[in-house]
Parts: sequence; structure tokens; C-alpha cells
Amino acid sequence: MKVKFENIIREHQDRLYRMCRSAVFDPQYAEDLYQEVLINIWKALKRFRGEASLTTYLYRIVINTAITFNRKEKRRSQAMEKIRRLPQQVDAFTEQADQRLANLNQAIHQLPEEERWIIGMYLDSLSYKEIASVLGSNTNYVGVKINRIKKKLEKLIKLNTNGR
Amino acid sequence: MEDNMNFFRKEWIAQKAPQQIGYEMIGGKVADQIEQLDQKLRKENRWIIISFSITLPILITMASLLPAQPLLFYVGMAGLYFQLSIFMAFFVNRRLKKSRTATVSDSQSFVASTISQLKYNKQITDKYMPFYALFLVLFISLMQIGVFSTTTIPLSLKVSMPIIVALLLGLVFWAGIRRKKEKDALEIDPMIEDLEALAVQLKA
Repeated sequence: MKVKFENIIREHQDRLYRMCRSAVFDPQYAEDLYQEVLINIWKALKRFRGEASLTTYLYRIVINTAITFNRKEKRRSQAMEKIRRLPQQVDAFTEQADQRLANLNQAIHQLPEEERWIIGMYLDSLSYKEIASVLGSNTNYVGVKINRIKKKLEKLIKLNTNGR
Repeated sequence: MEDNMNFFRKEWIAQKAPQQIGYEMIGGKVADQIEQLDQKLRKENRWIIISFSITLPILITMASLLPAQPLLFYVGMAGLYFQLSIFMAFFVNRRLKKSRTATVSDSQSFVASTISQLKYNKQITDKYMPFYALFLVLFISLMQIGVFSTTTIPLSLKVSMPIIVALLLGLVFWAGIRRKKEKDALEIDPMIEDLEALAVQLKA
């Protein structure tokens, strides 16, 4: 079991972490969430029967954990709200981070929660079918959403870059 | 737009998970949970011991101040002393026990001892607490029946008062046990589940 868990984490850790980044803006909190996600995967692994694909299962765990995590941390939500309203304050969190990546993360966090999940999975190269399966939705809906989110994201990035 | 998205994708997947977070962290988290639970249990034990130590002398003083009562009253009171003493001895014994971290040699036996401890705590709530409540209500009712048997109040009141008090006490205990069970289902059951998973992995 330990070996199985470690192999799964080794294979998926970066994807899982990136999903945490799309859930939580502050990298420090994203690490906390990532820890909780690993614990929940560890707990859930013995219940995994292979009905869904492992990737879908793991992404669902990330989303469920992130929803609870964000609910528990009201202060974080308030901080996120500030980030959305005052994009220029982002610099405090990202002193050493790459500016372009910071712009992208900032724009992602200006999107509503569901759109953040969708774009996070899309950027991680999940197929529409896989994204739909994680969200319990259909591929048409995901396709339409992705097109809208792409446009939104580009606008937001432009807006934030010009606003600096 | 697609070019931009590909560019974003490259930026996005450049983010890597922190390497220092791994399997060891899970053991650490579970150990933290156990430590917290241990502290909570010790605090609970302390309060139970303090409240029982106060209750026993109060009951003895009350009994000595009362005029002579029928035998039923003393039977009820003796039963109550006996029950409270047994429970107090149990909690004192639990309090005096050494911390499990000091008595077990390796992580496998530590996890095993924690699982049995948690299951034992659960068993107390599920099996023994209802009996404790039942006997408590019984002894208090006996004392009341004893006291009321010598008074001049009407017979109906003599009969109904102990029953009402017994029912109320039973209700309070039933609510308390139910609340404790709900709390256990939220706190202890998931912890037992986690530890059992950890035990399986430690054996592997």
C-alpha cells in the first residue's frame, strides 16, 4: 500500500499541486492544501475500486478537499476577495516568482471557482471527457465553458498587465 | 488565441510540487492527531476526577445531616457511593497510566496500542455508559422513594416524583450519550480508520 501510494504521488504530484494552486492563490496555503490532499488520497486509496480512472478520482479528491479547505479558512477567502478587487497587491505574494506565471495565476484567481477548476485541468492537458467526468458534467458543457474561460483569461491577463 | 493558450500551458506546467512533502508527513499528521486526542482525554479525566472527588464528600455530608431514613434510602446511597467510587478508581487509573509513547518500543506497536485505546474508549461510551446511567437513575430513585416514604404528602405524589426525576435523569443521560456518540463518529471513527490503514502499511 505504501509503495502504491508513493508511486501514485510520484506520478501525479505536480498535477495535484497545480490543481491546488488553481484552488488557492497564496503559494503557502497551496502547500497546506496539497498536504491535506495527500492525506485524503492516502485515506481514499483503499476505497478506490477502479470504477473511474485514477486521474479522475484524484482530481475529484483535490476539488472536494479544496472546497472544504476554503470553507474552513474564511480569512483566506477574504484575502482572495481582496486579491480579486486589487490585482496590483499580488506582488506581495510573488516577490520571487516568475512574473508571467504570477500574471497567469492572478488571472486564474479572478475567475469563479468552477472556471478555475476547468482551466486548471485544461492547462494540465486533460481531455474534455476527463474534465467532464471529474465535474460530473458533459463534454459539450465543458467545451463551451473552456472557450469562454480562454477569452476571459486573455482579457484578464491583458488588463492586469496594463494596470501595473 | 490558441498560441497564447499553449504559452500559458507551458507556464502552468512549469509549477512543480514541493518535494519535501511526502509519505512521512502523513505519519506525522496522524501522530499529531493522536497527541491532541491524548491531551483532550487527559483533560477530560482530570475534570471527571475533580467533580467526582467533590460529589462523594457532599453526598456523605448530606446523608449525615439528614435525620434517620428508611433502609431503602441507605441502600440507594450505598449503591451510589459504590458506583461513583468504581468510576473514580477507573479514571484515576487511566490518568496514572504512562504515556503510550513511553511504553511502546516501535511505531507498529504504538499504532496498535492507539487503535485498541480508541476502540476501548468507544466501547465505554457504547456499552458501559448506558449501564452507568441506568444504575445511577436506579440508586437515585431508591433514595427518593426512601425519603418520600416517611413524608405526609399524598400517595400519588410519593409515587410520581421519583418516576419523574428518574425519567428526567434518564433523558439527560441519553442525550449526553447520544452527543458523545455523534462526536466519536466525527472524531474517533475516522482516526481509527486512518490508524488501521497506517497499521496495514507499516506491516507491509
